Amino acid sequence: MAADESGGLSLRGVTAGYGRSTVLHGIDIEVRPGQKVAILGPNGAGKTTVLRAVSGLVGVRSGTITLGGAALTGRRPDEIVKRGVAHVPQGRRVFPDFTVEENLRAAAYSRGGRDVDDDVARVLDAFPRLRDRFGVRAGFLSGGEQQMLAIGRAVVQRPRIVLIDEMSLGLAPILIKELYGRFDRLFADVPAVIVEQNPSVALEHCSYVYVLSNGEVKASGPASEFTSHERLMQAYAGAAD
Amino acid sequence: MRQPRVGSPGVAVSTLLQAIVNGLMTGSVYALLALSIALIFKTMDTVNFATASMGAFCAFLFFQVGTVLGLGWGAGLAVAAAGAVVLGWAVERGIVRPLGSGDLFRLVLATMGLDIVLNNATQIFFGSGVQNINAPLPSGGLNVGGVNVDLARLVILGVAVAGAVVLALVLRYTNLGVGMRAYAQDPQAATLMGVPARTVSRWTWIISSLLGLIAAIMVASVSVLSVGFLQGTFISAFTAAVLGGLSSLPGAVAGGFVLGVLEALSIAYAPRAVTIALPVLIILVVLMIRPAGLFGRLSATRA
Repeated sequence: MAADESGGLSLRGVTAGYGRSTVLHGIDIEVRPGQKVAILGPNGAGKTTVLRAVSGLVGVRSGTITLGGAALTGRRPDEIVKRGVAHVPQGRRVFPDFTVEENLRAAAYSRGGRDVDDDVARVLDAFPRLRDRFGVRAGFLSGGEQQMLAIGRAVVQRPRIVLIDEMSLGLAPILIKELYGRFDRLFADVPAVIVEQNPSVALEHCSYVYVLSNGEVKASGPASEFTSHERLMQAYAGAAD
Repeated sequence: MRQPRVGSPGVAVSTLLQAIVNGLMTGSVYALLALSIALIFKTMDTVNFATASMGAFCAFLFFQVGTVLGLGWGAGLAVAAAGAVVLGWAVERGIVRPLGSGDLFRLVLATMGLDIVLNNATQIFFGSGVQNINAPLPSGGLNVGGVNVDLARLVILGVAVAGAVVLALVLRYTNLGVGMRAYAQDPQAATLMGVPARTVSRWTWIISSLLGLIAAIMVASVSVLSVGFLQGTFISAFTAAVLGGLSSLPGAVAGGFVLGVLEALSIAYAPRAVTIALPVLIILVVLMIRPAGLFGRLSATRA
């Protein structure tokens, strides 16, 4: 999982959408090896669609998406997973009838469901709460526990890049802090794209920021440039017009 | 207390027991075919109304190779199983995938059309005669405390239970099975775990087709083989699946046995009209009182 061989993610001129509506209009995003990148922006900006385009869940009409130089565009979602993209979707989407253990094991589907014990141990070390709930069906977990499990599934996937959508949604601030801390440690060397509605949290954990609005990149730069409230508001405001 | 209508209390008890034993044996066939229906519904969100004709077509293959060509039942079974795999694969590839998932009625109509086509194909290929498949099943019966247990039906019960157990093991312990169960719960989340939708779809139809074949041979071996011979059993199995919640596999098995016993009890104690109407009555009652079935849950739309 060394940063150098994992390679970066690159979106060039990506236009994508659902049915007749176009959501992304020629997006350029670079994620360098080992880098954590935040995508911020108002509701409906197209943040989630960026992740879905990378995962192959939404069709890319033009432009290219590459991981480590190899094209992801035009591939099926399961092939993209196999190439090392782990996508933790909005709303966690854990399998409600599976236990915590079954959810984690299902994440190893791409490698035949084998060789998961070490990964599961890592997840349980990072999230002791899941150890207590190991045999419980995921539908009965709290929102925070479900988010831990969703992150845990990404660990089991042994990704070359992680996409995570609204990790903080609906969670208490103290839990958000804990989850981001664990996330940073679990994926220390792995590049990640972090979509957030909550800019301050994202800025703390990412080194580079893209601000999206109406399906276009309105601003981008090192996270340090956005830590001042005014700069971010400026980007958002620029985004609005 | 009301007096038993006929004979001594001993006779009444053994009549009841006999009805239950008969019901369990018939119910095992319903259970297996209900599994075939529920597996498709659970994973693909549609009802395969060609379940009976697919199974029947392959049962004819079994008869053709094993008996007509005289190659024995082992060869017949191998060819029929291969036929069921190919048929399941072809239906998925040729009808289900092009039509796309997520639209219950489009696929329901397509499978109804397929049912007509397959019934006619069966007639064209194998004729409209009534055949006895002479399955290698033991004859005679055991008398257990005044209850007659037919050996052939006992073997069938065993095969049905074995089939259900094998399916459960495949779904529980194979990677494909885990993927299928994950897909049934949340197709998109399963996709993000690397489960290919088309693999799940393909194997769901193949496994369902194999279950249909086993049920078809079981029915034919205790009755006869003819075009459309499995349709009545399909109605019962569909009822059993509805009773069990349509998307619950344990529910389908339980529903099969419950329906079998209810049917046998109605044969023993009720007018014939009730027996004939029983599946429809049960569907009506289930839909009125407990639309999710015995084991099912009403599906909630996910945000």
